[in-house]
Amino acid sequence: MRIRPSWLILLGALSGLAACTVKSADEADAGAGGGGLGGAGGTGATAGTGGSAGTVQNGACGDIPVSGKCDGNTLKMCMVADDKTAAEKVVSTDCGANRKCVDPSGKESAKCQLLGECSAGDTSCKNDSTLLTCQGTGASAKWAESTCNAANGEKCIFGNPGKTPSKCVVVSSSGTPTKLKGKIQFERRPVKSDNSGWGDPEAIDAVDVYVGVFNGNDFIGKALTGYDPDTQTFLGDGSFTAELTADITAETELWVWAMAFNYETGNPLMALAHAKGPDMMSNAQTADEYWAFGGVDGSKVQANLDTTTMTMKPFVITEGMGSGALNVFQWIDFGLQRTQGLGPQKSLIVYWNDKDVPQCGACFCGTQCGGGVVKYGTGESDVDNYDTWIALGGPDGDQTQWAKSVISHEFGHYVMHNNSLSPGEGGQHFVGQASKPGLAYSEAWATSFGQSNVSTPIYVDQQEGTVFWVDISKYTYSNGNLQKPDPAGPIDQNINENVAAGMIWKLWAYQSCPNGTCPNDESITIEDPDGQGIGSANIFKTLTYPALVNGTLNRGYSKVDLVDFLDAAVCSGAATDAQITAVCDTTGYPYKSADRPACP
Amino acid sequence: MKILHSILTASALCACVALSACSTSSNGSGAQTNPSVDPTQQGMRAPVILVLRGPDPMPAAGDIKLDLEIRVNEPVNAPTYLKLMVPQGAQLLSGAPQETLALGQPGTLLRSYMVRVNGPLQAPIVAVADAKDPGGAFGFHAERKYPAAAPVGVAPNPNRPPVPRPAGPPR
Repeated sequence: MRIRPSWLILLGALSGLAACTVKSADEADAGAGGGGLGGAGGTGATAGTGGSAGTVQNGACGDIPVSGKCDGNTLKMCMVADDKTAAEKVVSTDCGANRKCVDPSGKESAKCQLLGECSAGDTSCKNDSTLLTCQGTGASAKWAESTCNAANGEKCIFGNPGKTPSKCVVVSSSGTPTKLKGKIQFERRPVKSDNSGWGDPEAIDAVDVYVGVFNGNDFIGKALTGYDPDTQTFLGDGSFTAELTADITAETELWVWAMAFNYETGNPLMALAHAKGPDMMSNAQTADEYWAFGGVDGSKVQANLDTTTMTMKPFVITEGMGSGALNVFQWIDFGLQRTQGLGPQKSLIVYWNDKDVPQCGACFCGTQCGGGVVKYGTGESDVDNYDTWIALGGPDGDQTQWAKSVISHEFGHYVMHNNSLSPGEGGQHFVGQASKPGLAYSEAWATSFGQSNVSTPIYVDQQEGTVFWVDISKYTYSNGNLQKPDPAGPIDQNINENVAAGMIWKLWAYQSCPNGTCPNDESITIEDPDGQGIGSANIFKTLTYPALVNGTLNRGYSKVDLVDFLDAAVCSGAATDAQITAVCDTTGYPYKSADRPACP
Repeated sequence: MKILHSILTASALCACVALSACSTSSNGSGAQTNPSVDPTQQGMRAPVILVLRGPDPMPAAGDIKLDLEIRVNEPVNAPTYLKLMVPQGAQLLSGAPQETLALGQPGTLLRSYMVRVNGPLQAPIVAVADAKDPGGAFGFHAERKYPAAAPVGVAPNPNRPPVPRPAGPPR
């Protein structure tokens, strides 16, 4: 039987902690700890040496917390299932020669961190005219810049990972370079109008994906869909324009990657990799292939080219080619774009295939899992290390690749892990009833963020052939009304996570978004009859409010929770007392503005 | 069955959780049984799961006994409509083709059907369960087929890109 619920909810709850963690070795008050947003880990080029699962037995974790702990250069974390009868276990990851294990600090979980700026031997291109070479070793490793000789027609050309380094090369200057235009689309299955499942495949534009153009093995051009290099504008569609360094031949073809980059480091920021099986930790330590699309008739350039306009027919990536990976990419990429202004973004790898359901069902794990790798080659440096990972499933009956709510929920956990303070709390929790305030807050945030990402309050998921849906704006579920808070109870009472999600949703949402367009340049449509309309900017201002992140605001329950979030909304100026009261009145939640301590 | 296979492939840790989430005890009479564990220990998951079992492989002709498990993980206070649909070339000999269930308690319901198959079927036998709360804020659609549909799946692509991944940003 699948265990999506326990892992999905708990994992997120620990924001990253992986999954089913309930271990309370880190039960210290959440508030304590330094604030500030974490720096971006980026991806290193050299991997650790992989990890191993520890012995499975109750009490096995000892003093190893869910947020991880260093034992020498090995990162250890405690994974405990959401069940009193389940065994806890320690999962270990060797940080390897080029990374050091860093203990948790403040809101940051333990992590494996590159010793230096880069790994010895790495090369990259900062831009067309600047070559980056990693010099030094260990902690002293730094990028060194050198300028390509533009007068000789040199440009910096990225190498082939695992094969050739990036370098300055003379690019043919004979006349105007050839520009290849085209469009990338992919098949997705939308949610049926009655929420009863996934509809028939429909082709839509693939935005923000990487398009590589090759003559055989020779790289001759690249493009970003939805970006027009001529006008340097973002079009937000699947179109692309690639400037080619060689003529098109019968061998010329496209390859498309579901991969977004960190433009400061030049490294991948987020990508989709093939899951190798249902074991998430094993995937995170042994995955060896990215999702890439090509090698089919539709990707052949010459056969699909209008030579007058130099425009290809749209290359449609079908469901049978694995377009589910692109659907996952699109929702997470959208989330990354929505939150890119909040600070540095940790790198994220998503493991998915169409055959397996992860043991967790669907889950996110932060840095305390030691990150995730893609070992794309056999060389020691042929590895990409990502700070965090998400695991999703895809077989018939469990097609999470079409479950935009679940995809976005998991990314919501990433946002909390990356930009705010996670309660790091597990424990019993379930859909219709109340759970511990920290856990409920973590899940509520992930759900409300996720539903905002998909512009609907209706969460739709599929498990074992059953599609089910919940409308968080209506506070009801299968057994009728969700359990609402006790108006006469304390503010640190247990609370239902979907009720809390609905409250955040109502604080966020506008009462009206005519024609789907909300005020304040929202990139989403978020409407609710009870909506207070503080909008995304103010919600994110609340989430990242320093006094929330560093624990200064913590009151009531020992860990960060909805009370602290609501305090932060007012103290940060994101919301008024009247708006908070209006939202609380929809559930009877006994938050009283008059009881709130003075803002710091 | 696929479902059982997935149970067996889960790790010990997760299997433990999984088992705790199952309430498969049954008196075999079709009556709803009590869950073996406190349902409140279970997290967000589908409220109802169907498991449809029959002979594997499916015989080309003859009488087939099908067993349907209706696993209720959460109380469902809306009526649940259960249907067994047989395609042309098959005939339902016993078992209700449709009924309305009250799934107010977690546990497992069992239903058995006898189906006569006159030859190779052009479509599978399908069991579905549907529910929707009166306010429209919740619902589910559970569906299982016999024989299980071959997964659409991702077709193997013998070709690989010239490079494992792009070396740098596309712009």
